[in-house]
Amino acid sequence: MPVTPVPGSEKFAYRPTPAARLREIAGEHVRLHDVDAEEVAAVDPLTYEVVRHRLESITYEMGEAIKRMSGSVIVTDCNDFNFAIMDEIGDEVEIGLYNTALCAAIDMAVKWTLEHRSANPGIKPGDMFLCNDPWVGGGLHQNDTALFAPLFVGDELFAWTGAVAHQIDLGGVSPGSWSVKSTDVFWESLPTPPVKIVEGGVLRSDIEDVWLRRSRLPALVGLDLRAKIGANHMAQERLNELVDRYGARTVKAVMRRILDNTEQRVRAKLAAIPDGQWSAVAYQDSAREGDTTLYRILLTLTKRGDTLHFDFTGTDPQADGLINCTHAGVRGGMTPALLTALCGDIPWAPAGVFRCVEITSEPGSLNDCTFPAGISKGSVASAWATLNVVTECLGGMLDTHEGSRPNVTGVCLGSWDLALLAGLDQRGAPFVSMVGDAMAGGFGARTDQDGVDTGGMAGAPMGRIPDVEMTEFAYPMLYLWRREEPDSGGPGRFRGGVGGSSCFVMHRSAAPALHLVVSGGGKAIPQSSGISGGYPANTQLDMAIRGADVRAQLAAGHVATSLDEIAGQRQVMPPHLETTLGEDDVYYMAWQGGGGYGDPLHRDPALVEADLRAGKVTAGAAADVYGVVTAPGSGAVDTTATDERRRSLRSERLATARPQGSAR
Amino acid sequence: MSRVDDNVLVDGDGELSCAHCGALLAAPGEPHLHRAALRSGDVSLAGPHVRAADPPVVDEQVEFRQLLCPVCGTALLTEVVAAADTATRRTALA
Repeated sequence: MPVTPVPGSEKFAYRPTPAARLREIAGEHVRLHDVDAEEVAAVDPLTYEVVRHRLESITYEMGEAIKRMSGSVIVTDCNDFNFAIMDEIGDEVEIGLYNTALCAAIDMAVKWTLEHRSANPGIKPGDMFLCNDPWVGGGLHQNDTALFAPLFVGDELFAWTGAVAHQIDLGGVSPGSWSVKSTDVFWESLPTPPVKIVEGGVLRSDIEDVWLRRSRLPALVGLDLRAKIGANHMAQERLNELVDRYGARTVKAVMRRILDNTEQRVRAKLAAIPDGQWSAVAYQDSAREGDTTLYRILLTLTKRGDTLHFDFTGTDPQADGLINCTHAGVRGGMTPALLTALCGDIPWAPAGVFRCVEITSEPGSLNDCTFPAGISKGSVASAWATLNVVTECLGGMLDTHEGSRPNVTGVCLGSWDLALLAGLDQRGAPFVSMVGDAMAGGFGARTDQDGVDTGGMAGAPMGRIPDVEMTEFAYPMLYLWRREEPDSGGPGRFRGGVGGSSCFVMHRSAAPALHLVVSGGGKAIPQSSGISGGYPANTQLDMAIRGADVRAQLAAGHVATSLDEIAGQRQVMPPHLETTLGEDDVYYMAWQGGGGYGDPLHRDPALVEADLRAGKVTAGAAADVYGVVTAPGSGAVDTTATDERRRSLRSERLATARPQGSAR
Repeated sequence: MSRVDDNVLVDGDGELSCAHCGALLAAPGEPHLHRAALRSGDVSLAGPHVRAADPPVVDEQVEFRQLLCPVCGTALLTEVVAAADTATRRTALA
């Protein structure tokens, strides 16, 4: 695998061009709207807040629009999409609360388009550009397809709107474009750099055909394309209304002020926190089917004054597999953590936040790979691992200051548990579906409260887990159970949120078996790390039970509610595998919870008692990890026995410990 | 004294101490938690929720690792890591 740029691919390995130079390049071919600093300062506070909130609400409307127009469960029921409103040079002023990682690089795609498309074929009113090339930007892997549109006011390019959503299949060797045998990008969906797919308000059928021709589900992908077009239309309609009411110069001044305010407020927060340096490692087990290598992403975060330097030096070289991500993925790993940790009370204007941030990453590494590295899993592999390590380091930093300590969290849902099914559905039609159950991951613990159980994903504040009923209606599946899993939350003084498990069989497919793609890490090393002595959450477990007796059980009116009740041959799934799921097979997946905070031996015993009663922890964990003893029968905490148990556990710890640096 | 995290305090000279028992964790100028005790062992020490993959999925040894207050045994840092990796997580306060 070469890690030097392939001749001809250089212009797609994008780093955002500085604003002044971008204006020079694009300004030769398109008039860019701008305002000066005086106009920005002149906006009164009331107008600023009204316009700012209106911009925010437009992203919500875009979300509702795309959900009403899409036919993909990933969009309609998981909210795996997002939107951005950008200024004339692509700086992101407002993004939605959906999958924030997806908005980490729309600006890159817009800036690239300004730089490389403003001359040929040009950027005109009514145009829209489509991009699924993560080296350019727009999304984190090829499934993330961005559609972005310039908004002209008069003859000036005033702003950009953008919609990005995960597409269920865009070709490649394996269904879902999840090529677990991939050794490079040529196994995978073709990355398409920005192409003008809508010209002057007309969808170009030649380009649409080229786009859809690669997919196993062209009708569904075509519908999603129209959904993104509709969302952009709706957003631009609303922006035009705003401009008509307040004037273009005022609206632009508000956009500038949003960026400046965000920057100022983030800098103020950073300045109040003690300077320091925090480092962590995030692991990934396996780069592709059959690979047994352990991979590392390293981060050293330095805070000096009011700036942050994220240095990923030392990260492993890119792998021969599908887990790499491009530079867009580094930003995709940073953006959700920065927004949630630092901007809970600040407008989510990524361009303003990134003014306070410096990134050092090494081209040719796992999370800044060069073409033609495999990237089809990049969004939930190296970008996700980047998010984990950023979360840890930011957590360590925030914990040092009383004002920022409430924003600390342990790592949430340390890896994505993918089960992708394909075949014929109940109606005899071809289908591909990603089982979205792991959207209900456990949140990391906070410094003053437990993590939210099955709370979701840190990167997708408005992410959702699809209904069982909706999934069973749409796809040939029948659930035996879906539930929270005890002990899956990382122990701590505050417990990480528990994750869950699902168990299902194929049901009423027109074919005798389904295609199954498994891709889930966190099996060798748990990836939801704890903080401040907190324990990591669970390791992930995926299993098929072959030749199971479930059909006979169901015929007898019994629904198994545990793996122990199901007879058959157990096949524990490795991190990557492409296989089948037959009519007599059962599939089980148990995804990760959140990391804990603080020593579990310091957890209030009353909280452990409550955990036991609620099924969040087992008796074994209560006794052996939390050191809490309860009375048989009543289940009430035995205070004396608990104190003794905890003393004993601490002594055991110290009995086997040694000074650092001494031989084992 | 100010708080570094749930378990560690720092004074004006940079001395780190246990927030629960006052034990010295690092003298000024020493690496972070330099005097903490190190406990390591099988991943099962992390709890019933952390299972050694069976069959193994990576070709490296994985272990449980914990830094403890040398006096009261409070867990200061808990991780599951590759056994070959040292200095996986570091802090340096200015």
